[in-house]
Amino acid sequence: MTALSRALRLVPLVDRELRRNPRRTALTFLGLCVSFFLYTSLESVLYTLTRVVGATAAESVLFVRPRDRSAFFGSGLPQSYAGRVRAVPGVVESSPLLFHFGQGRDEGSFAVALGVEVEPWLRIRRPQGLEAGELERFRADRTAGLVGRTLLEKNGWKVGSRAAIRGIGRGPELAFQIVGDLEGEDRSGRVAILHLDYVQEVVGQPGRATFIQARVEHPELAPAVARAVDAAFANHTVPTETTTERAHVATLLGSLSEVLGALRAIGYLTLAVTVLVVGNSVAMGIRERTVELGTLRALGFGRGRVVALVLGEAILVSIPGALLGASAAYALFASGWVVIPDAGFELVSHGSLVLRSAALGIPVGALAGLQPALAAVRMAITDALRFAE
Amino acid sequence: MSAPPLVEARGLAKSYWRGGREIPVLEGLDLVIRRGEFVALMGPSGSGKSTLLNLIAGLDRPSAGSLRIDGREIGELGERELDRWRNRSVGFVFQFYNLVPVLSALENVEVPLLLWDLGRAERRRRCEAALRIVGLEPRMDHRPGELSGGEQQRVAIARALVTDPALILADEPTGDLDAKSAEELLSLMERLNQRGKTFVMVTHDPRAAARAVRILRLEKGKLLDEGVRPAAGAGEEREAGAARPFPRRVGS
Repeated sequence: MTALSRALRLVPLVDRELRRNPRRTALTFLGLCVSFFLYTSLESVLYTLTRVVGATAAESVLFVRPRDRSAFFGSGLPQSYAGRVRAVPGVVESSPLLFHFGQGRDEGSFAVALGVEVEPWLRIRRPQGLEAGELERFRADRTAGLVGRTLLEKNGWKVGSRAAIRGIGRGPELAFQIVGDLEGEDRSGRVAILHLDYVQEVVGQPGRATFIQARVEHPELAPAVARAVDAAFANHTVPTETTTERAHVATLLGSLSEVLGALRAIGYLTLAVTVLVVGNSVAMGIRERTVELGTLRALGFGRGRVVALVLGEAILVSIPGALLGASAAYALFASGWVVIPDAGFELVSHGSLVLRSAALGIPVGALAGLQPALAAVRMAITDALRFAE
Repeated sequence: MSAPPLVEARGLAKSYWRGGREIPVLEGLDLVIRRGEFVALMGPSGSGKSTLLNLIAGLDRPSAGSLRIDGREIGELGERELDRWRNRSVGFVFQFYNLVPVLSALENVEVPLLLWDLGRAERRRRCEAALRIVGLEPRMDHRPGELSGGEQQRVAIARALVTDPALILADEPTGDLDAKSAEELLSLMERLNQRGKTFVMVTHDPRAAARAVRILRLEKGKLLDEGVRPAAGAGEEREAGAARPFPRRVGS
């Protein structure tokens, strides 16, 4: 007879005890659900950001940006920098990028137009899934655009139709012809790739770029090339700061990450409070059953078994509570209802987060039950039996 | 020829520490309880009878002296051994039944057997047999709240019987019962005793004590005297046995 089968025999006893006070168990369960919903939501946000950085950013692609961070999303760099960057040893290709932020068909539907030099950009990004005809049409028409799948779906646009990204505030409207869709190319699917000169013309920034993007021969060369690029522009009007694309994206998300770091701490605090709340609930139940637990010990249940019973109760309510709360968060994120305005991406969750949260239910339950369990077995059997008198 | 001893106490003492002072509860107690006996422990509150019962049950440890039960020195057993020994060798009947309210009668009886290496079917068979003995087999699916006090105490007796222990200890088993239920319970205990079960019962109730074969009286932690119920001439003798001044002092 294995220890496991002996332990399993106690499960019905634990189950019945949980049903003894259904209201208290239900409230405890609900508290766990809410806590793990919050925790999993937070983890999902962090997961989204990590995914955004990890999925799109390549170590072999460099971003050259103005050292002055206040000019990040302006048009702070001369377009001519691209040629100088291309001349730095180790750089295979470079392309200026000019951003135009706006919205699509609906108010609040965030969209980004990205002006690129077509051939260098194609050599740097190497977009997959574009048909030859789409590329040809894109090359041939300076007002043509390749549009991310999300942007297409959100705005009800189709390949072949005309579209426009209205600038934020008084920004100009950028109209273009959709000639192809980008599937899995850009990190958010909310980007429209347009010709640089056309974007410059519409937004009134001729010869300017937001960033210079460059591909290096090998990822290992990236740090040295980045230093060489910055050295080349050190004495220019606009000094640069060059990073890998991964570091670049991470920097853009940096300020948000700090906030999320604080939120993650709050998430853990939520779990800690849950431990206390569940622990209090278990402790109340244990106190009411002091005589009963004393009786079990009189009948031969050792301290270990009684601790296992109490912990079992706490864990048995924690795991499903964690699973349900985490699943609710997952469902909410999967529904696509949760977006950060102007962030350019949807918040998503992942099944592994649900499983991890459910697994966290075990230590949360165990921690919550530990003190009441130890208190239950610390009392002498004779004192426990006298508790009713 | 008398039955072999089941409980042997020599110089048994127990004291507690309260507020930095040692409070002696039992002092130098000598006692022998033989297999098949039905012993009633009587005495005023604070006399030490419950303490003695707890020591015999292995729920507490003596401060001094020797306590051998079924040949085993209880004070020398480790905690785990003591747990196992209690589970296998002692049956408990409490004043307030101490049943688990969320379990059925059958499941309550099954509780001690959860620690045995028995399959589910065998556990159920034994529990049904124990409930049959106490006349509650038809109510085995009922929870304690659906049973009368007398029935609950009979479930407790079935729980005490199910492991077939050498010794059944009852602490005021009739204390929470009406007269009729108490009478039925005592008759049941008497029948089980006649079938060989050894009972040690703490009671304040002279009528309950009168059903025992031996009555031990404790006062201020000392065993004062002993009354033995004659084998025949039941009713009057029992009453007299419970009430008479005991002729001799034992255990001191």
